[in-house]
Amino acid sequence: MSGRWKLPLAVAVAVLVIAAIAIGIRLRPPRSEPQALALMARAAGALDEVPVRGVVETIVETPTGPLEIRAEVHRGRGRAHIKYLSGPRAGAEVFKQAGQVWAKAPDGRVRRGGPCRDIAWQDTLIERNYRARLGARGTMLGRPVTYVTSEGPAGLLNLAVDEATGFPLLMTRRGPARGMAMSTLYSEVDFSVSAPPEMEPPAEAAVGPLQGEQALTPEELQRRVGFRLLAPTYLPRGFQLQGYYLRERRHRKLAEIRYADGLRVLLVVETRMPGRGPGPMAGRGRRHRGPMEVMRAWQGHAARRLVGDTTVIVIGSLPSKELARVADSVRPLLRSSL
Amino acid sequence: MRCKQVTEKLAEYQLGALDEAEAAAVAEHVAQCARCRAELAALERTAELLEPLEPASPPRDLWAGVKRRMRPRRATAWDALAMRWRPALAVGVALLVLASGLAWLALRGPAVQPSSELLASEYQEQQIMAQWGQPLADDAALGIMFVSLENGEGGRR
Amino acid sequence: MNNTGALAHAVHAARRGDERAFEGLFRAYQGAIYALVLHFVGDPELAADLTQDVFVRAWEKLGRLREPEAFGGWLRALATNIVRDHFRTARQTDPLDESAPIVAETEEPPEQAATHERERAVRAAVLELPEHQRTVVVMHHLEGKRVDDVAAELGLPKGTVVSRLARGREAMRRKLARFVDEEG
Repeated sequence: MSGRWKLPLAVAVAVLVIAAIAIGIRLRPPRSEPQALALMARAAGALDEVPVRGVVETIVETPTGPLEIRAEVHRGRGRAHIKYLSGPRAGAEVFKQAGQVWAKAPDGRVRRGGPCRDIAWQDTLIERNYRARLGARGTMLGRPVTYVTSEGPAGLLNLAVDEATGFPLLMTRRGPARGMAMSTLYSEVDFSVSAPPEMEPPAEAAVGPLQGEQALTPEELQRRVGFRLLAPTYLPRGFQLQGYYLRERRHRKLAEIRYADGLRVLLVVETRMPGRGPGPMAGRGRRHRGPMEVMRAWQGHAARRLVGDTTVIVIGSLPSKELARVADSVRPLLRSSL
Repeated sequence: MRCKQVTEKLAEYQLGALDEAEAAAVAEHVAQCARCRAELAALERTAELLEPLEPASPPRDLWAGVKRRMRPRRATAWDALAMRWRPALAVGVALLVLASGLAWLALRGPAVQPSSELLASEYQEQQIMAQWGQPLADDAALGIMFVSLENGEGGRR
Repeated sequence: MNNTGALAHAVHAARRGDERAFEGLFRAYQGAIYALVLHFVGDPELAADLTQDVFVRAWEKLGRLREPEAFGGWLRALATNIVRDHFRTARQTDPLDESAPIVAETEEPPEQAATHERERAVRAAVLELPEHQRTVVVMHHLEGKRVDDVAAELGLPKGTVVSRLARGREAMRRKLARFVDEEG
């Protein structure tokens, strides 16, 4: 190698090495304590399995302010029965069983919820995105508990785990600005009960064939919805693909691409809605895209825009700017169209 | 930095709350200025004067006395008012958001158009169901959001 | 560690009229409030009475608390207000003399008298601070909490706590000039 290239090459290599180290350091995940992770995993399992009857005080952040309610809970073995005792929906009941959810209003009307597949505890996601730490020990309802907190840029999950059963007697989620998103605290608890019986879902609550229960391949999903699937090329930090799902509405089919970061979900929902034409700003957007609209959701926001004939809605407990960025970044997913 | 600027920042400097550049500038000035040095010393002595409390326990149990004087509490008039007018408030807030959204749009340009509407309930339901499938899902909280959705699919008697 | 979830629940419940939840809050904070009040008034019986006043008033005013997580700071502000009001209405010639032992002036050695005088002045200076500054000065200096913990307990950004502390220190430095300025 001629002498004249040696120095610039050495400099280039040094810069690359330093850059690689810097990037590596930046991307290095915050470390979670293994014991804290183990306790969270134990709590996740106990929440599903341990038979318990109790009363909870729940606070949920809504667009119009915090909603505080009290409910009776009976759960265990993957089943849960909740009856709301106070607040605007007093008397309503919610049932969860085998990955299905349905609800009964006080006037008897049944609301079908559909499948909510229970995702197994994902150590890697939590460990990557949230730093889990063991907190102090304390007492709750006369029972020894251990506090465990997972904190990340996206928010915080705080648990008080009952030492005897592993059941979380307190569960608090906060958003990035540390405002409370939702929180449930057991004010009465009885572990001596058996799990609720297996319930017969009322006829109206039958969900039908479990479409949307199974994650599909992108090709299969694209074939079933009948339009070209788009997928984001930008994702907020920490989010990983969980799967492609089909959701059927009365006259429409929706494609749902689901991402999660261990504690929150991000949904990219796509549908053909030719009725919803381009808004007043149409034509001024880049690349024949419609304007971006941002809406409030119960928890977080949604960003919606029209891309060609496809409406793309990005939903998540994230700042609207992030969701808009995700929506802006969608491109066709598969090389071959239909 | 001049004395007047430095004296304003001395207290923060003492608390270690200035950024590196500012702290260095203050330190440099203080090293050369007797008056500011004396001021800093005075601030330090002030802090020293504030001695920590001694832990102490009440001489008797005070709860009974407190409880006796507690009048039954209901939601205050403000809370009650807010409850009754919540729908109107929600509409008012939505209109305000819409108005500010349009104003913002006019000022910022067409990049993002904030909409006042809440996401349609079917998408809310999707979000709730997706969140429900995550580990450590808060059933009671998600459940109340779920039953509060309007125009539910499958809502038939 | 992080009990703020349980605290928020208790405050929400107490706001709805749940006396049992309020009793929980009482038991959690009575020690700190009593110690704080005693520091200012010196007399255990009087401190006990005023502590009760603090919690009775807290129960009445709970609806005005906007951030349930900031209950601790709000309660301390209530307590220092009650202490300050007590001194104002107590109609003593030197109100802060409550804490001085009832000893004839001639019997008190000069160093002790000077110390008492200084302590009285410091307490008065704290009570005269505006409420925002007073609360953080009490929590950081008198209770010995670190700035980060004060910020967490009050639900405020650290920068706000620091700036309130700074303003508080400056104000106290002026009020206590005769004790902190160098002679000569």
